[in-house]
Amino acid sequence: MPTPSASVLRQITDADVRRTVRLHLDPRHGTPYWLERDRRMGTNGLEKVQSFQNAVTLLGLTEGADQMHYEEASRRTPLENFVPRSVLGEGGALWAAQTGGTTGPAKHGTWGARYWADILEFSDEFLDLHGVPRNTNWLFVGPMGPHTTGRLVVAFAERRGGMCFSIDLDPRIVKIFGEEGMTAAYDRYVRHIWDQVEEVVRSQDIGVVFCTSRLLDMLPERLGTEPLAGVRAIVHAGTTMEPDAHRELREEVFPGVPVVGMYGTSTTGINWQKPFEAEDGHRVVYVPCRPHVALDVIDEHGAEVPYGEEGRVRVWRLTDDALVPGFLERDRARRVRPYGVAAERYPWPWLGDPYSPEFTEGRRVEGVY
Amino acid sequence: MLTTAAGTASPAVPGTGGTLDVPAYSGSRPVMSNRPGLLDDGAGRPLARLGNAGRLVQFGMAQEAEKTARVLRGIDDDAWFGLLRDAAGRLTARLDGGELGPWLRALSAATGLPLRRAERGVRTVADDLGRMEEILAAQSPDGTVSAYRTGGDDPRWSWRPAGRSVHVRVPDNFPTIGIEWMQALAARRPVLLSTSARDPFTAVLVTEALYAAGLPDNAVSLVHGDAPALRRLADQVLWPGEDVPGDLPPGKVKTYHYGRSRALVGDGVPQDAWGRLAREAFAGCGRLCTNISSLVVLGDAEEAAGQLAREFADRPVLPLDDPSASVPAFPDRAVRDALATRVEREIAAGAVDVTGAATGVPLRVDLDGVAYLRPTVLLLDAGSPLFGTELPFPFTAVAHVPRSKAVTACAGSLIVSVLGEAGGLVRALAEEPGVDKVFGGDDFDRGYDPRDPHEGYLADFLFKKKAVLPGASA
Repeated sequence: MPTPSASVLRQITDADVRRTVRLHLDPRHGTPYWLERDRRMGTNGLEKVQSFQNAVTLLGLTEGADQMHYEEASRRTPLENFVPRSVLGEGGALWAAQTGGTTGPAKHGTWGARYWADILEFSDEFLDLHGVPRNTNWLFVGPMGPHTTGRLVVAFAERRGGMCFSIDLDPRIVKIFGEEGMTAAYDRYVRHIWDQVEEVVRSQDIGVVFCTSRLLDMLPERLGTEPLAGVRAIVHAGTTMEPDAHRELREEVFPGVPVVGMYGTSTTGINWQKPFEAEDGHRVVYVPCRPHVALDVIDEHGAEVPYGEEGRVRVWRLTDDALVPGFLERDRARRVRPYGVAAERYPWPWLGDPYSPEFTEGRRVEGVY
Repeated sequence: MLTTAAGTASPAVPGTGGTLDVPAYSGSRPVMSNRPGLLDDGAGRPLARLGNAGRLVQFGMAQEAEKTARVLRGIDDDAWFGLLRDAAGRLTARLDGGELGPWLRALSAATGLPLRRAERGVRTVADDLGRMEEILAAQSPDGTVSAYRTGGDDPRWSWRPAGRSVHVRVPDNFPTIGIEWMQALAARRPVLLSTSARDPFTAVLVTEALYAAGLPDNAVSLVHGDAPALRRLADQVLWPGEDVPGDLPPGKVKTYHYGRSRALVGDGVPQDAWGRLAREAFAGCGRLCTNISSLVVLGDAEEAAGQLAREFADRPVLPLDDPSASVPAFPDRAVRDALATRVEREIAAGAVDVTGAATGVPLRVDLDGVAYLRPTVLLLDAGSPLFGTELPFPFTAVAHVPRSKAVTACAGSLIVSVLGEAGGLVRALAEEPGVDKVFGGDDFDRGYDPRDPHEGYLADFLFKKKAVLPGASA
């Protein structure tokens, strides 16, 4: 691991929590949705929440009607309901993000200018830790349009001194092809994507490839390894990356090239893979990007599972433009005690081997996303 | 019935010793993965965790297989076939030692095959592996196995591999179907296997025996379930049945063992023929491509159906662990019910359930909570959609067909067995392009012998005569 400067990430403090609560539950300038919920549930969070533990108890979304209410509101009501009036009044840029729409109609969220800047800053930190080169062009193969990843990757590339070539991918139509058994259309669409990738790779000087995990799985079989001989880093997003696939990438397909995972959602934020070490056993382990985002792994009673155990992912976002108080993701993952060279730098619970059960069980298909 | 392993709570099937770990294999390296697939017995009880090898791992398998083709051709014949015999011996020894009991019980529970039959099936697979030299010699252009290494010996052509690797989809109807991929391997072609949903076991047992015997790394790789990357990357594909994936170009694929075998009943059928015919219908528990699915009767079809039904009646539905059991179960009850409905529709349309009348046993049988179909002889009209259809249990449709239409009625058959005197029909059947094999006289129940052409010789797909002048060494 290169020797980096001090991390921009840190533990969440009680002061962080109090500040976020003051911002979102301020009776006059707070966030309409959370104020309404506070009244509806009789929480009085502004006075009672003094620490993260208080927030877990008092503000955390509860599974069932409470979480469903929040999800449906984020689908069906104006996005401004979820932003503090004070932040709206400041007039800074707000990126209107949409989820992939894999669990129903898309949900909406914001990424404010300050959060965006924070994300670019800590993303640089991780890309440097992994040895992803600067001053080189990127190729992005994934969802653009309303999906945050595309915009974010363009920003990574430009901030690090390169241009970003992009191949758009519409995960929603892929989902329709899969669920409706339109195999020929699915196959044609996948071929269309790879045809475009081939064109870019043939004509442009690409140093970093950013791909969804599923497309990365197909990359060598579609392109072979020769056209990508000049690639100096691979970044992937999505959920599932089996250790055997990770090992194959690092050792066989792209030997000596950093392969970096990014995990997150369009409405909460992103988290980066810890620096690669042999003791990972090629498992992909992520560092939650505190203080902006906290990821818990919990059991069916809402309690954190012991280290090493698998549970459901619960996400907290504590930023100016958005509060997400313990949203229960569909994903499952292992709770990991920090270890290795980055343990002291990021001394809070990590997340290992996340996956989406509905993509691997039953009839849903993960497709290319 | 195939899910991921997360959240398993049901108890294991008795006798399986818990849930088996059945890895995929990237060459000789077992692959289990973080979240293996979970195979259950149809009632939700787990049988096996299946290693999951994704597309990237499949890419690696295909790359390594290509490199291994030359290595396999470099091994001398004695060492090569000795290795296969050694592997066969190892598998047989594991069976004899009782070590594979949990595997066989899981195989039985997953496929619905009676336990003893499942074991015999795996034993036959081992026997077939041990006699590959003889099987391949029958298929080579000069009758020797050296042709697979040297390319044959002719001034005008050399007999060369038509590819460096072959992907084989292995179906789960009966273990003996494994002979197809074992022949490809014995012909020194690296094989990339994908197993079917209900039998991930047999191919793994053979693969483990082969590597234990010293098979060069990457000569066999194995994935459980669909393997789209292997389909794309392998030079050739062997696909069971006729439902070939649309992404496979026609010249790259050979279908195999899609069945539909018939018997033609002429005059003067010897009395012992009915018992022998019933044995053919029950071979592999009625799930082989060689099972007699239809009887084309030139004379009295009712009499013929009655004779065959009496033989069927001697083979009742028994629990899967009964040593005498020969009737398969259906772990997926919905599959059983859908098949039963097809038969019942024909009965409603006028077909006669001859075995039902002879035994009094209903078509749908439930035994200890397990779903079966009673072995069935159905007397019907030759125009019935079930006449000529193969069903996955002992089932034979019987119809009268006039002599003038007999050959047409047999078109689309893998095997036509001719019983009794049929005049010039044997010759006419042999010349019918839609009939693959014709067995008559005392050989009418020859069934499957891997030395015979079976949908042609596999070697004729795996190899090709090419003009290579001057001839280069293999």
